[in-house]
Amino acid sequence: MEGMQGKTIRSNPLTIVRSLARLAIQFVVLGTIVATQDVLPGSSLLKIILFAALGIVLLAFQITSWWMNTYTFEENELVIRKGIITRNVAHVPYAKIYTINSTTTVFERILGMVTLDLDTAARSEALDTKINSITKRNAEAIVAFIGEKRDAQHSKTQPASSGAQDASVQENQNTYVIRGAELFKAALIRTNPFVLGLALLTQFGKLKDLAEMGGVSTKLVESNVDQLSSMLLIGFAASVCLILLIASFVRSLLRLSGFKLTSQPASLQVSRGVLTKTSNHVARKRIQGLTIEQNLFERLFGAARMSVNVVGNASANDSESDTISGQVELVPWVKLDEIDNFLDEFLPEYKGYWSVSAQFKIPRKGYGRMIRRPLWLCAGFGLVLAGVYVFLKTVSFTPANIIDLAGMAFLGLLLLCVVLALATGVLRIRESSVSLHEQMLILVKGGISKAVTLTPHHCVQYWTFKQSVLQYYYKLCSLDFDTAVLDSNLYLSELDIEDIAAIESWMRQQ
Amino acid sequence: MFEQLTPPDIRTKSMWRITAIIASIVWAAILAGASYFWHLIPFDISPLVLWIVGIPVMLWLVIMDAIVLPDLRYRFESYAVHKDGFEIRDGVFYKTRTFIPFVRIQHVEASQGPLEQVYGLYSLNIASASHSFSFTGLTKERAEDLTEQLMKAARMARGDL
Repeated sequence: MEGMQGKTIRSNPLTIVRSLARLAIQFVVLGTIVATQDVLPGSSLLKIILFAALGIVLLAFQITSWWMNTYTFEENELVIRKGIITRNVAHVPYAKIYTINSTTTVFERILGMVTLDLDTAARSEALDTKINSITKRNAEAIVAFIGEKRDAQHSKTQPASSGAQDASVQENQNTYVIRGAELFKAALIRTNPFVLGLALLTQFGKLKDLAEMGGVSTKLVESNVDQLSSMLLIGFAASVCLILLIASFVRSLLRLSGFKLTSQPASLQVSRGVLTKTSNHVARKRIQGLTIEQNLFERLFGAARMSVNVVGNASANDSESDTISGQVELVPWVKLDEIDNFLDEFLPEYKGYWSVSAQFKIPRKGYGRMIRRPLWLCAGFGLVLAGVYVFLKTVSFTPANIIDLAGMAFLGLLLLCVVLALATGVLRIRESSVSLHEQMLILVKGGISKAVTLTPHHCVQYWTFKQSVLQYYYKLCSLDFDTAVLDSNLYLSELDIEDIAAIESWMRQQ
Repeated sequence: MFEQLTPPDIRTKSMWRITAIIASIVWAAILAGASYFWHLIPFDISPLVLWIVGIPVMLWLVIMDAIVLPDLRYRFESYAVHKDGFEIRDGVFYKTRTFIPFVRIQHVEASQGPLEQVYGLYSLNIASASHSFSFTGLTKERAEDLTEQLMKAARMARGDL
């Protein structure tokens, strides 16, 4: 472990091969266009020479780029040097590295490599703290080295840190693993065919463009659609939905497989995934709150999922990572009556708060507004659907059977929306509340999906009370707390103005 | 419960008015430019659409932003320094009251835009770890005073002093 100090490492040279493979694909496409469309003037030999020169330049660029991207482990900081033309040197003190996430793609797994993403709370986009494609052995050594250095620096700045507390957590090292029926149910409730459908639609758009480029007329498709019967259309739509549903379920299952949460003295480690394996190290000190969420299906099963809100921006653009918006999922599936046991093992400071009785609820005078708001949204949605229906009717090439089908589907969708809106309104009134218990702020957001957020008082950065003209008339107010986590979303509307005064008084007394 | 609320300097109203007038001039220039190049648009739409949308926006900018709103905004915008934090109130139709505890203040910055330089006014930006708040219409002395007061209070709250 000590061997890491003063050492400079680079990504695995095989990453050059990966970059070159990507470039080669682009090169082939470009070459084909140039060869077939006769874009460049001159002889074939000249074109070949030009391409070869360009290829050599790109190869040299890739190799230089690999050589010049270095990670040096100094005594107190990690120095990351990147870039060829614009040189970027980042000095990251070990104490400021809050979480270390490791990701392994299929390609990396074949070659025995890992990518580490070091998360600091910095919001600068210029600071890229990813250590790409290093050997597994190096990655383990780096994680251990940074952890040791970070703890040493923290103990220097905070000598009164409770060693006894750390020791008690050390004794209590726990592990949570999801498998069997729980894994199946957790994957099932995450099945969302719409997200996958949208992604496929965008791909379809690209395919259509390619087909048009290749001279395939879309008129052919349109004329066929005219002849399709309603039953065939319904069958086709149902098949597409079913395929998307199954694909989405398999995707969730692959993402959740191997989910493992390990409690360590100063951090929590979450690892998961089959094809792409991810591992997040969340420093306990960076946890700004805990969220317990339930969607409709989880409510029916009497279960919930838990995530911690963490300061940082690691992998905010990485779709494979869980740290988007500062949330890291801790438990994908837990029975409601097991939450306290779980918290006792992994986050004892949050135990017992999630089920305290509500202190400040939405008053009776706010009921009307809570019900009306989702209904107004429904009305807006209805207008959009009506607009689309009228458009379909006026456009001459739309077949009559499609118009009828669309009309029925829109009406059904609108009715479903009204029912959901009413249910959301009623559940929000019944369940939403703010409670202040000891040092904990407990915010419950009701609705078809329910969320309980536990935020320690010292994590609240500021608070805002908002009042519209109508709220002023009803003596109601909206409440917005913010922690250092990006998009902390601690917001509740339609609270009584007197309750607001009591909440502020509590906040200021702490 | 609260210490006295202080409104911005009275000259701020005039500054807001000038800002709205400049915005309306810019908007008028955009409209004029768009109508000049309207024939280049590949759709058969009458240029009247442009004026139907553009003129209400201009009227809003002149009547509301330049005449009506500055007085109302001045009435509702204020700040207060409490013993434990800084409070900002603003909003005409949607009123907000924000409280930033001193212990959460990361840094305070006084800035001056071009119009503020003309009026000799300053804006104060107060940054917490998650968000930055701004208050406009402070005289130079008041801005310097507040910056020092807030930074000192923040250091004291964190136990640095």
